[in-house]
Amino acid sequence: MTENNVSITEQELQKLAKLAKLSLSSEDIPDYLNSINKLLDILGQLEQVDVSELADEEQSFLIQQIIMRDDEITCDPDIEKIQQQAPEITKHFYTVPKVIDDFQEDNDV
Amino acid sequence: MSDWHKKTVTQLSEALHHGTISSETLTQHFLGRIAQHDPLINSFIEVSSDLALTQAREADAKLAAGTAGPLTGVPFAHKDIFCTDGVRTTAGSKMLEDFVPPYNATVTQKLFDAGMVMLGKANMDEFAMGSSTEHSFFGACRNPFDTEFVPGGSSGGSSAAVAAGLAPIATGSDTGGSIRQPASFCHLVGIKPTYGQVSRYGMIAFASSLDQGGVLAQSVGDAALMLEAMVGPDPMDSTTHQVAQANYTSELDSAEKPFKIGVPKAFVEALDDEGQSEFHRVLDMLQSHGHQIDFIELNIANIVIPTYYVIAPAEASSNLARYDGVRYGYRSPHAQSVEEIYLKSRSEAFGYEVKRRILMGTYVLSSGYYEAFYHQATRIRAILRQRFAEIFEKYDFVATPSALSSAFKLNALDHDPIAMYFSDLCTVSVNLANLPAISLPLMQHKGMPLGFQLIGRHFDETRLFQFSYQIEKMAPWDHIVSAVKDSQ
Repeated sequence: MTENNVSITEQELQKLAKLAKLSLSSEDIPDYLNSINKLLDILGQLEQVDVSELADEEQSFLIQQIIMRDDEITCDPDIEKIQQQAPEITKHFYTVPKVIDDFQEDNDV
Repeated sequence: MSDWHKKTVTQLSEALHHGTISSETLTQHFLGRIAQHDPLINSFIEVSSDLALTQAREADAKLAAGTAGPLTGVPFAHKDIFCTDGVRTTAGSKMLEDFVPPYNATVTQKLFDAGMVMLGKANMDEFAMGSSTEHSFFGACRNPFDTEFVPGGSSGGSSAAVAAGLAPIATGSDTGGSIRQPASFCHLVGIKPTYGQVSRYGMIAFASSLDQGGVLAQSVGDAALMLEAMVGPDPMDSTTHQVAQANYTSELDSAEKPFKIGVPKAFVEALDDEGQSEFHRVLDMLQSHGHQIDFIELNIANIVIPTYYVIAPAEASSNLARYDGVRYGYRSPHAQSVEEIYLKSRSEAFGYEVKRRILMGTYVLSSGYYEAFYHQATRIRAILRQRFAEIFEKYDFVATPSALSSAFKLNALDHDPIAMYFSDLCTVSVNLANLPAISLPLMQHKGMPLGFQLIGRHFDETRLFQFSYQIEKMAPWDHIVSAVKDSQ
């Protein structure tokens, strides 16, 4: 481990999990922390790479022009077939629990 | 008993066209072998017997009518990352355990249009994140050369199925080595084409700027034949390249002048003694056939893995945000609110490795770290491309081992994710630079197969196949056959 390595704390891990919409079980947290910090130690090497030779326009990794197509309707989606994959639907709507109460709670965070 | 499972696709195609065997009989032969051997190998998540037999009968009709192409009636295993209309497509994840796509991926459609017969969906690491096919919700897949060992990954179901003679050829996808490393571990030819050759429409996304579909096959000719049917511009994928129809097979045998091959010293020196001696044996063989070998400096070994493990998780965390338990995929039965639908569905249905990569990706994209990690990685990626471009001004190909060792044992790297990540050291730079590369089954290491990787210039698949075909003629590799394939 280098002295100036980057690492995250359990609190930061929990924040990341919240951003990623994941909840981590308490028994998994030490292992996540350990492995992510090991990996961050390796990723820290990137900072030392000299990239000054690059002009701004050379920074794109794409090797070809992105081809645009006309904005036309080219298929006629079968709503029934698509919605067969939904966990829960009501008529043609995706059903979720009501959100009003949660909204209040979220505002307090 | 018949030994149709020991034939290449090219041989099967001839037999089908000569009427030596029907596609239906051939398909039944492979379905029979899957039923017999796959409980041990676990290379298929889903076997689509009914569809396969229907497709086989349609192929037989085309063969009888004289309207068949070279792939008509040939069975294949399809990596479970490609959407198949009406056939469950899981990407190896509990998240998509019951997902039945309402459409075909472009690759699926092209192979069906070519008359191929889909035997089933091949096992893989969850969302293609892994190098061993141990991280599948549907159980680990085993290497048919020795079932104590992994088949490589993430296209390990594809490599194991072909090496075990359960399918004559298979599709794969390669984000950091997921075609070439399993090909290396299972004694197969594996090609990852240039980014933009194969449409990604309907191929479940892992890291969109790196993902590319390809082929795992027994011979160079087979790989060329199937890839030819898969490539081409697609209005549904704006990153596909607008090239003319590929003619890999018709130009396969076109003799060319000796090639110039650059060999980065660092990759050879990273091999152990046995690996180095095997690698030099292949180089000596190429030299004795008049090809020029130069050892070159390409000191990227210490930066490619960190660069890849910034870019791939960043794109993955973004791509996998779509799995929210609302429109399709798994929804937690324990959720009481919308927020809980997101949290619990994702937490219950994603595996450990997928969650780790989402967390890493979220970290490198988050405010305060984006510049130091993500943006810096994209700059290093651009430099890497320039390095390769400079090398390709002087050389036709770059050669490296496909991996630094042969297959490892199941569970061997389970508690060391970093070691698992470094098993892709030889392959990830190719994805970062969007280059085409092929793994050829030319070496052995610790009694197991090891691949020889050739990297070509952008969109130079034709010459990559031509040179590979020359090498195959110098050193035919069908003398090593897995015990499972050798069985009746």
